[in-house]
Amino acid sequence: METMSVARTLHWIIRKVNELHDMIRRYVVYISFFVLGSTNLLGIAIIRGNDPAEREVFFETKVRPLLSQHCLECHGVKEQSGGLRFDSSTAITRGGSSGLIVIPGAPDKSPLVQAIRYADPNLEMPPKGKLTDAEIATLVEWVRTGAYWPKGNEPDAVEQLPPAKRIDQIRESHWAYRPIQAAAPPKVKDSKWPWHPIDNFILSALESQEITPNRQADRRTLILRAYFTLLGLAPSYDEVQAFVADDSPQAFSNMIDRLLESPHYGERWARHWLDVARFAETTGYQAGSRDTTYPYAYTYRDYVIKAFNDDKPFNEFILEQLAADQLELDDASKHKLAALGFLTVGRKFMGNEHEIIDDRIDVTTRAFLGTSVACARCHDHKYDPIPTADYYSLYGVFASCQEPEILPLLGDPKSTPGYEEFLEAKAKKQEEVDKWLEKKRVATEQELRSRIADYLVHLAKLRQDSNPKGVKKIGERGPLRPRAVARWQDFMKNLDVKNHPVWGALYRFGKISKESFAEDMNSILSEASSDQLQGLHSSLVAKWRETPPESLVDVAQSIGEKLEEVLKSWNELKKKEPTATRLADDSDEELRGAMFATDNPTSLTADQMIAHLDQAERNEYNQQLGKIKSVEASHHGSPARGMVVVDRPNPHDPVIFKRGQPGNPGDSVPRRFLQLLSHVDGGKPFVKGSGRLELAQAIAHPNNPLTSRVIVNRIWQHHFGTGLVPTASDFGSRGEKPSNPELLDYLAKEFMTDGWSIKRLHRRIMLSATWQQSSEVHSEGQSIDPENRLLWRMPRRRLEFEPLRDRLLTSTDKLDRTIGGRSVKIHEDATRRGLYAYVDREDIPGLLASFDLPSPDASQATRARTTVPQQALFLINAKFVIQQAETLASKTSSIESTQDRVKALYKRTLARTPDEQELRMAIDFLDAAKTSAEAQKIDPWSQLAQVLLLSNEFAFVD
Amino acid sequence: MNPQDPISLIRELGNMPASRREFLRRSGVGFGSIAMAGLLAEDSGRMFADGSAALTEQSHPNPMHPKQPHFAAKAKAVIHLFMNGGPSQVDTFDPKPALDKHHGQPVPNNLRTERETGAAYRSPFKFQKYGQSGIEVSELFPHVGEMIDDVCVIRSMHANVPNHEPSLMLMNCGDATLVRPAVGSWVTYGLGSVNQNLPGFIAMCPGGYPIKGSENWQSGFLPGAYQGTYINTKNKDIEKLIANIRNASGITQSDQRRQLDLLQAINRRHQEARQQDAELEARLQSFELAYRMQMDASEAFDINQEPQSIREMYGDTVQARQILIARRLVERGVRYIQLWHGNGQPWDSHDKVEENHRKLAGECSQAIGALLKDLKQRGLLDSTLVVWGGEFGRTPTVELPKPGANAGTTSGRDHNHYGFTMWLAGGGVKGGYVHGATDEFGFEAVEKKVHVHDLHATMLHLLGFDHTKLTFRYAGRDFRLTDVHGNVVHDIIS
Repeated sequence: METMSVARTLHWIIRKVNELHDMIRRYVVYISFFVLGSTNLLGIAIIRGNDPAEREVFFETKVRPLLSQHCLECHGVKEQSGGLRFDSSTAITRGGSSGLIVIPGAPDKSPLVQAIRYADPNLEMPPKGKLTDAEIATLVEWVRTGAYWPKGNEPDAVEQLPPAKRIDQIRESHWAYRPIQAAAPPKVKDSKWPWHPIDNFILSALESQEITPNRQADRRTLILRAYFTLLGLAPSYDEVQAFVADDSPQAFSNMIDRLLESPHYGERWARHWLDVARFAETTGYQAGSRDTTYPYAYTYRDYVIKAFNDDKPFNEFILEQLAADQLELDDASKHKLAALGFLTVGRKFMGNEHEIIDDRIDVTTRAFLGTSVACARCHDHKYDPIPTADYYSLYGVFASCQEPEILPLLGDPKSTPGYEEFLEAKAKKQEEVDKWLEKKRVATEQELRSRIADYLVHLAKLRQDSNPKGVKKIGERGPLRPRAVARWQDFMKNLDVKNHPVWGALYRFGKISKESFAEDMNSILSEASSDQLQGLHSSLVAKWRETPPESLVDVAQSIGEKLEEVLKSWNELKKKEPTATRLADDSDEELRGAMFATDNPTSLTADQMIAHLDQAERNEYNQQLGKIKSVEASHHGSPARGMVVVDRPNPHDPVIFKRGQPGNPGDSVPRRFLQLLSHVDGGKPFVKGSGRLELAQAIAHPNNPLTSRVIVNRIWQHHFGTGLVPTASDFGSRGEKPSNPELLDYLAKEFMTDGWSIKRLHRRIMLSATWQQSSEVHSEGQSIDPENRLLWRMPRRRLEFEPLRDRLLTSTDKLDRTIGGRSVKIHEDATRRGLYAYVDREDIPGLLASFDLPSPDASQATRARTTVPQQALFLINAKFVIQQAETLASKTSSIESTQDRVKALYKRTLARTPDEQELRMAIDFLDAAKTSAEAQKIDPWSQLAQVLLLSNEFAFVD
Repeated sequence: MNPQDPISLIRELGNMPASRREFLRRSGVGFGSIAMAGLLAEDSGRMFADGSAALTEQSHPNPMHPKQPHFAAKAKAVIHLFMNGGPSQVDTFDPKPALDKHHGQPVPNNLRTERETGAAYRSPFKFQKYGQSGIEVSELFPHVGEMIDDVCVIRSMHANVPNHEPSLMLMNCGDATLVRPAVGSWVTYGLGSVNQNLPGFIAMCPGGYPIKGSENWQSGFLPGAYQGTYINTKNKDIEKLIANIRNASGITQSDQRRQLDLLQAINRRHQEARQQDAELEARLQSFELAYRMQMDASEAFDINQEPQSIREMYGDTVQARQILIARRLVERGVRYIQLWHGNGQPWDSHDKVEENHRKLAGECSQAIGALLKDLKQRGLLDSTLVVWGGEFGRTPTVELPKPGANAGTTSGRDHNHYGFTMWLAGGGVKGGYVHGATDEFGFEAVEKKVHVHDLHATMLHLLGFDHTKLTFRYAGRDFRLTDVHGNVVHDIIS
């Protein structure tokens, strides 16, 4: 029998089990009847009679789960161990390579039963462990009653097809892979409601469910909604008033145009894209004091802001983010290189290349194609038509890329005072590092020379020991530097060394056998002019004649000692006469020269010194380097650079790693686009370098059915809270189906026809009656479509962290409206917009995490929407919030009338005036505060202002 | 409606259509857990009518709402005492006389670890039998020795590699490299938490982060609510322990109450025009919860409320303080508490193992013993699973000196993932029992080996979960803590 495979295909089982749950639900009526009627002591169902329904229920509820759980992993569609599969009746009755396994009606004769009973030690199934008695009894019962297999219940017909055919079939059957259809806007009964074709699609779906959509929201709601959606900022009281008063039919449309032209529009929509791009500014954990920051990550954010503000066509946005380096940019367009941050701002997994590539595959396919390819790393995707080969095709693309050591400038830095200051600051740090390294270099040369005997003895041991690998890198005076040992080894391999007066001895005597060393050495030394001694340094020969070495180690020791003596006298001399250039004794000077020669392993250049650093020194060195990097990262005059990737000189030819294990290579595959979408680019292998540009072009191709659908759905999601496809990054079979597929296709088609313009898409959506309807709930809609998937009302939305915080700052006019640039520590009371928050993957500020800022470890399509007490604690207690409240109090302090001052607070915070009752509540509150002795410390006006900042009206948009 | 009256809240919520209640499922608002349990039981009951044990995100309301596990189990809470850096098994709970006998001589099976090690290196610590079970414990942990009849010592733990980072990830998240949820995240995902006014999963480490930082308590692909809340227990002030727990302007409680009363009045007017919107309601309630939490959390972390005798029992160290806090948290229904010995990797004794281990054990032994005793006397030990150990153990052989890697001495031990000791107590484990064994020298687990995945499977089992069925669907796949591995070690369950 074949042994069980190590890596398991659990997905398969899980799916089967899930399918079974569905089935069980369907058969629930039968089960209750059946189980009640016939259960024996073991709890095993026994079949009475031949009722097919009963047999089917028995099979589906008892037998198939067992087969799924215990057999299909090795005997299913994926693997047919022993030529057997347990997923269809034909497969069962046909048997395996060793013949029939089930003999219906005769369990004792059926090999299957023998195997599960562990009757034969050579055939014990499942190999993981014996089934329980009850489980065995169930299968025995099943065989006894004829091994019933329901008709028409063969495994998924598609799954049985060969892989290529299977992909073809799914491409034609799954909605997201089919070509985009240009359907005409449907006719509707209520012809007055629709303003735009979008409304026809929405209304048609609503009418079929007999739901009436809401009417237009009031103007105040519309302007708040438009500002929130497009800018993520609240309008001022005056802006609201002006809009409410403007009765021109173009008022709303004009406002949208104005907002789309605001530079704050790009900030708002960049943040949505940054969630998808798993944006953060650090590598994640790194060992050994390495710098984890991405000092130029901000340039990617700036690029995205600008792309939205410029209404960069989305297809260009794709090309630039995946392959800006290959677009032959002229000098004026170099800033586009920053787009490649899309690939590089992910986690670095301590430098593990496979994980980095996996991250890039994942973000690319999910962001643009709404498809999860990373699933296919270890095995074919279980639900979507993505074979493992596709993963490695893309793996090949990204494995053919690298991040250059020095990141390119995004334009020629201009000689501004700031830039000059930066250069100076950087040079100063560089000098410090150079000084540190030079000091280390001199000390290490001294160390290597003063312990030269240890190194030479080590070389001799390596030469003579029968097991050189077992020789530890330790000398008499402690551990040796591995790099220095390696350099000595290389040095001794050089043939010229043979004739060197000092090192030649080790070379020549190294040839003498260990066993006869003492004897052979004696005879060499006894000869007056042995060839072996020819040219060797006389002082060494004299030393050996005095004490004949008994081993190569002795030779090494004596040379080392002699050299160390010479070094000692040299050091003493230098102490006395710092200008001395040579030793007085010619013989000693010759030896010193040998040791100090520039090619000698004890002499180090700066680069060699870096290679010699031990672990602790290396940590120290990295810290030194970090100082230079931190000047580049934080100096205000440091020029912007792009976090690019470039192609490697030789593209990587990918092979499949079986089960995702790099040590387990399988077939080779070409670098090419997904087979599922092979019709887009003809399925040809990529030929240009890594193929990144070809990949980007295939993604952005108008014939690609996914890309335009995915992006219009994302835009829709940020208007309505939920996409037409709620699983915005999963358009596969496990994702949800579109609530209005015709509308999705209509939008996708129009979007492409329109030159992939996102701004025009916004206009289209916002000018619809669907978008402008009120958020009111009515019972008809609520009872038929409580989830509001068909959009009979505008969903009420809560401000995300960034707009909420921005609004706190706009209410006090404290918001710093600078666009772009380096991040700030938002949790430390900065006044820039929320999207400029510095996010360290390794240490996400608790404030951001508790307000649902998404994890930057994977592409995020939607944010969680939690209401946790940490959010409320921040709002009631944090200094930042209280400061805003105090500012509001002080900014209104000159208003004498209490009523007017309350009104002023309402205008600043909620962009409206209070009604009578609100006014009274506020005044009552203030009065009570004045009489409270405790309240004297804290200004009641500031307390009142804070209440308004905390109110639901402040945090929600209708 | 009075926001502080759970009954009227239930009535209100009960009148809402199901879809609006659905909003609540993602909110961590603590409506009072019992009230919520009653309110939402109807929904969850339906979800599980088909007998499906698989948990999905959709099937639960408030993420921290208490949930029932797959089967009845004793353990309700976990305290994981993490000796980060890797304590030496042969110096603590796995005595090896052979090391004394062969001290200084090569061991027959010197396995490859992170660094080179040399000869057998005897333990400088004396072992002594404790309790009725007579299990031997070294002089480092006499207080644990006193409680040994409640402790199950697993001497045959093993992991994958001898390096800190992957081993920490394996021990905490079940995978050495990929981003996966921590054990505490899985447990709170599966069980929720009893106390809605405190975080359900708390990681405490004095002085900063351990190696790998917050990844050790990450929620990975699980919802963020299940991420561990980090608390730096070097601080004594509650303000520094929990963000924004104190008001920055020092407002009095009664003034803040008046402020919130006005806020709720304004919010309720706003809501009147918007019918019953659960999300508006949830946010309104969250302020009430935050208000209460200021009191509750302060109280939970304040060990000065313990009687003198209890404080003396634990001792007067940072370790003692955080271990005593852990007991107070367990009492208050916090689900999963991980206690790290200190920032970085304090137990990583590459040299001077005697000096270092003596110091480290001195800081925590008394408090750990006190914790076991205290939980027991309060009847909490049965329902609290205490786990002790590091990410791996240490070699029984001496680490050879290497420049920059240790202080150049021959007095320490290298990392060892081939065999090490962890112990469990309470929560339904078999006390006074030794499971498995390492070889003669204590290098490699040889008998009844327990892999980290097996430990995880067993911990989940003790909490009432079939580890193969506690799953979460992410990126089209059902993931679990033990991935495709892990077997429950039934021998250690009482």
